Amino acid sequence: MIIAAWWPDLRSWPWSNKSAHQAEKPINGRPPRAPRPNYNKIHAQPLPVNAYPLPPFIAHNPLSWLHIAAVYIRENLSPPPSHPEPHYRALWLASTGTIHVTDEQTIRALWEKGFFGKGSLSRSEPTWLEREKRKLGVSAADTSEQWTRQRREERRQFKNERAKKEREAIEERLRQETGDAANGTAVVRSENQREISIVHEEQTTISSSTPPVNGPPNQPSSSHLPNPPPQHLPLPLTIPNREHLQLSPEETFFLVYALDALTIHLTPTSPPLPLSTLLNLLCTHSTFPPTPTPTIPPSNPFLISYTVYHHFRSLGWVVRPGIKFGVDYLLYQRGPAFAHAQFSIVVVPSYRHAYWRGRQEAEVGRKGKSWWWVHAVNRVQSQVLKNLVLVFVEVPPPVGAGEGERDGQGGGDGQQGQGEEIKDITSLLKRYKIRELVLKRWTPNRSRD
Amino acid sequence: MTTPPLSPSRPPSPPPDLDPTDETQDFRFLSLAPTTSTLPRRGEKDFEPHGTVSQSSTLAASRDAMHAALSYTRSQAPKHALVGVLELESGITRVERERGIHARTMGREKGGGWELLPEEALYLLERGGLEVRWRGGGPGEEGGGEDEGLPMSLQAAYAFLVGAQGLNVERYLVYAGLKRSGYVVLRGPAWYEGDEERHYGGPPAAIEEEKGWKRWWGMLFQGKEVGQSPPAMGPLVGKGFYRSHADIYRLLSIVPCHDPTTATKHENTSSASSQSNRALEDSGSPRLRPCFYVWKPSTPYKKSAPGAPDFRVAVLDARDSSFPTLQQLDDLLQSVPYNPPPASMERQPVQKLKHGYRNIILAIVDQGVVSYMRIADAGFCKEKLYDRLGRGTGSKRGGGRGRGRGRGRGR
Repeated sequence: MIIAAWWPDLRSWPWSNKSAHQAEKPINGRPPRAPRPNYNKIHAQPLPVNAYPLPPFIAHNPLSWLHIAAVYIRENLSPPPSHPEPHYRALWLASTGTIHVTDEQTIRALWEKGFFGKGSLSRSEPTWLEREKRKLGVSAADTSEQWTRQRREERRQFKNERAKKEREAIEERLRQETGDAANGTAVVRSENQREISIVHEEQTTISSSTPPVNGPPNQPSSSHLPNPPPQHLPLPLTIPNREHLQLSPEETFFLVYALDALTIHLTPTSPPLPLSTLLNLLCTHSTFPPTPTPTIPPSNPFLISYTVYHHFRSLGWVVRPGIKFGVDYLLYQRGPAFAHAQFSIVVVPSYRHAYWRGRQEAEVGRKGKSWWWVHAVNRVQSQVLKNLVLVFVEVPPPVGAGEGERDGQGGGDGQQGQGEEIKDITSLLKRYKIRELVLKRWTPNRSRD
Repeated sequence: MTTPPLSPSRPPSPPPDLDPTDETQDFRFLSLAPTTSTLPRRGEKDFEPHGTVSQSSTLAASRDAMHAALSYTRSQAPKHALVGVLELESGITRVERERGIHARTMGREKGGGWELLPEEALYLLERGGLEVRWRGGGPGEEGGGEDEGLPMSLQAAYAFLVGAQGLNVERYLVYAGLKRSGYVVLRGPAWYEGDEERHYGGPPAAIEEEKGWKRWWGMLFQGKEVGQSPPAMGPLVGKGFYRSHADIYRLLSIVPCHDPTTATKHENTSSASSQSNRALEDSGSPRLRPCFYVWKPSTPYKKSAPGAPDFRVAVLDARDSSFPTLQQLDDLLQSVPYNPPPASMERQPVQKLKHGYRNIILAIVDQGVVSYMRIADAGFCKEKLYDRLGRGTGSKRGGGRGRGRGRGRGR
């Protein structure tokens, strides 16, 4: 009996090798695939800050008692570091207003521990170098982009096969019907011939635009496989990695402010930026064109989006940008390597406090989103099997503007408290309030039971 | 080129939430309908004519079946006929004796007769199950024998009933659509503008107690509580030694969020209602309310004891409203009772979040087309995912769907 309830153990997953075994079996007669890497081991740490749980306690096994005792004593004598030492380093590029990580080990660590950032030449995980190596035949490792391409190719082939079978069935039926009718009228026959010629046209267009299923004999079928490793290329000694990891502003600030795992530098040799400077930079660049102001109001877009990002990260979700699905964020339960995102997030700032009445931000928000917009977003999310969540962020008034006033009691008169230089980001974050509402299309015909 | 849609001879009243151009319908099942007790399946779709005799004969058979079904003469025995008299002042239709299956879910007994609300009368009239007569000899004419009233035309019934008793076209469309789908639909308590509906507070006290007990348990076994306040400019997670990631995540959680297991700020019903009413009036946005209570067809429904409805529906016009503000939604969600996820979902965080703690259905009517949307208080802060880190993900052990074959819809 395993009792590991008190300290959930991340070092030994009972199912850690299952997926690798499953991948070796050929499914439906398709060629077997190379075993997948063990993502449970690679992504065992959910954040770049390490935790050290005790090994599992097995009551009937005295060895496990000893193991626990040994680990406990060793970790008490010399505690292992919780934070990366030295800090991970990233560069702020003023020309584009982006944050880059170029050190390869840092890139791997940030991706593996918490899925931070995006490879500049990849879909999300920085795999450009692997793909290049595979193209040149140096490495045989698979990347997720290749899996996707291969899967799409297989799906297209399957659809072509199916269309071909359907066409053949129709032709067969046409032949039968014309045969049954023995001396059918000329009209019928000419119609049938027209149909057949259309079918032939379709075939030719298919074969010209896309690689055919079992291509014509003069083409070698292997040329349609994604990225065949050529055999006669000379092996280059080293391929320079042209890819960097780009961190979103929210990810950067989370890593710096919340976790203290990252430092931001203006040049590779300069000292790290202080947190207040970084916050000012990110807030300034959250609008286009950047609006440098000494004071930052709580309605700053970066502050609002960071509040949401921080909220979901602090609950244990893996938060990734959701622009591909027309939303602000995607929520993954353990990370994109394990399963599809479950929820998609749209951030809606709400200016409920009396201070905001009549101000520009509140007026824009008060008009609200049209029903057509809401339906469009919701339709896209249900098409990709995600659940839409509207995250309302109640924006607080600036410090000093709404002091001692309750909701609906009349706000500041516009002169005081336009914003402030943020000296206490923690207490500012504590003044926002978040409310999540799940939206779903409801169909009477399917809710009857 | 597609098979022409058979719209000219569609059945007279299609459900408003189905777009008839969505699919080409195969009506052959209609000819089988009287002999089978279950609903027939629709046929397979053909996207284009391919010149085979079998296809064209299938199409012809489908058309014939549809025409046969439409040309069927419906008749009603005189003794089953329902005849009501419309009272123009109140909009109520009075029927002498209730008959038929609709009496179980519609109308109410009064003085030996049966009274129908405007939407109920209109719905029955549309179905052909009711004949409405003018009171007396005609409009404006008082007196005369009660039985001598002339039958009212459908147009006249619409003219008098829509607009009576707060019934507008949007509400009637939602009502009729839900009724046609088999639901039992009643007016909610907040039908009129000025009506004070109930404001429901938080959950029953038992849950609060359990929460306290759970917190005590958590304090005892889940490691140290966060003691000191986090530093003003970070880091929230300083250097140190952490036994579990849950400790780290607990340090991170500083952003306040709405706890759906407690009422927002309404303690007692009457003052809470007027308070939020005033706040909404201040903000200039109209108040939303659930105007229909809906029971599923499968729910055993008794007119004398309806029980709690399965759904609460608020009706909105898409043209003169936009997506509600947080204030409106908060007010609306407070007016429905606390309905937490069932205990069977305890190990399925995603299911729990999708279910939510309070929910309401919005019916958005755009020029006669109704679209329904369910809105629920998700309560993400009640689902601490980090507590599940070591345990896997419930039913989806071993990493969920992962890289399946051919089921990817984007990551």
